[in-house]
Amino acid sequence: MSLAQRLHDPDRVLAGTSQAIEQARGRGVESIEPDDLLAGILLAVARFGIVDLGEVALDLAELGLRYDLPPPHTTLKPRYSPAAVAVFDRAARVARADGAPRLAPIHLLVALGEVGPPGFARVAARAGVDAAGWRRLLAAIVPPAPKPPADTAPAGVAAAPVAGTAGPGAFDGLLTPDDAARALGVHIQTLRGYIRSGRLPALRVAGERAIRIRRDDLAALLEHLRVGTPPADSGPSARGAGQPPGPPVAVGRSPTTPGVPR
Amino acid sequence: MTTFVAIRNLPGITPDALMGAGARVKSCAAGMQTEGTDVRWLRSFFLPASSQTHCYFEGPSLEAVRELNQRAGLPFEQLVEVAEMTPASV
Repeated sequence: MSLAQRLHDPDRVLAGTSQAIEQARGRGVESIEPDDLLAGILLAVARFGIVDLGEVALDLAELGLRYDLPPPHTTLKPRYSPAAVAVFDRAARVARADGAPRLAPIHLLVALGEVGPPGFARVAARAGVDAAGWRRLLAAIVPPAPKPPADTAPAGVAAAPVAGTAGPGAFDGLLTPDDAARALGVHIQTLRGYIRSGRLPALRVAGERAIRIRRDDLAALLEHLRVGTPPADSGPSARGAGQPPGPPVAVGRSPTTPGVPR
Repeated sequence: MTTFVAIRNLPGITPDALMGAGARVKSCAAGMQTEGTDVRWLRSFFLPASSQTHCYFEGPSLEAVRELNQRAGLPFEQLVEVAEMTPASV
């Protein structure tokens, strides 16, 4: 299981929050603080104590977090502090804005970066980022594509070419707006905003309302988000040349909105 | 095991906040189970018209369910035992 899968796995929240409870117990206190949550979630998504965020690999042992220690046997009964409760509420808003049906570890990590508990400063310093850089690191981790039903084409991919146009395989790599939003980790309305502003080229199948996005265009936009620079030329015309003739036509306006969203 | 309901008045509550509360109560229930207290969150119903939330739990005692809610940071107005009735039981 990749880090992206672990970060987007709602079932791993329970592992992280259970770790957070143990962190509080390990500190000998009955109050679960945001730093305990941060430690718990990082431990729950780490592999061999490493959280590889692409540009940065966090060694949790260097941060004083050990994944291989036995849980302390105490009679302490930790409860969530008001600050930790606020992190959950914030994470839930992040998840909702992301279009996620359930809370996942990545939503808690985003929320923790925004709240910035004391322990986050150590993590951010180790990663060499500020709060905005932390969000960019997490935003660059693309959610795994949902598994398609065994007897159908992959969700969101126009598997069958339109009659009378290009041959088989010409439409491989096309995504629906929903899938593209999921892949970017943004809300569908944010994704549609990218299309409207011209930052993300999109195709419309003539005679139909369906909009499709090329994987390459999505990857290009993601790359711009990673480095935080506006696209030099991401307008529809830039990608319009060389398209198969016929139904697909570019939609959206010319690029006008530089910068990083959110 | 007995079923209990926690009745909360939460004006202005959003579905987002309910999601966060659910994650907290799941983790605290798991923690109490590892301590040997078999307490579980069964389900919740949100009543938008009255801003009330009814959360159903299963546990060995009212005190255990009270503690679960306190650990999860979930305030409540009432916590009472529930007598269950279903179409099949009538």
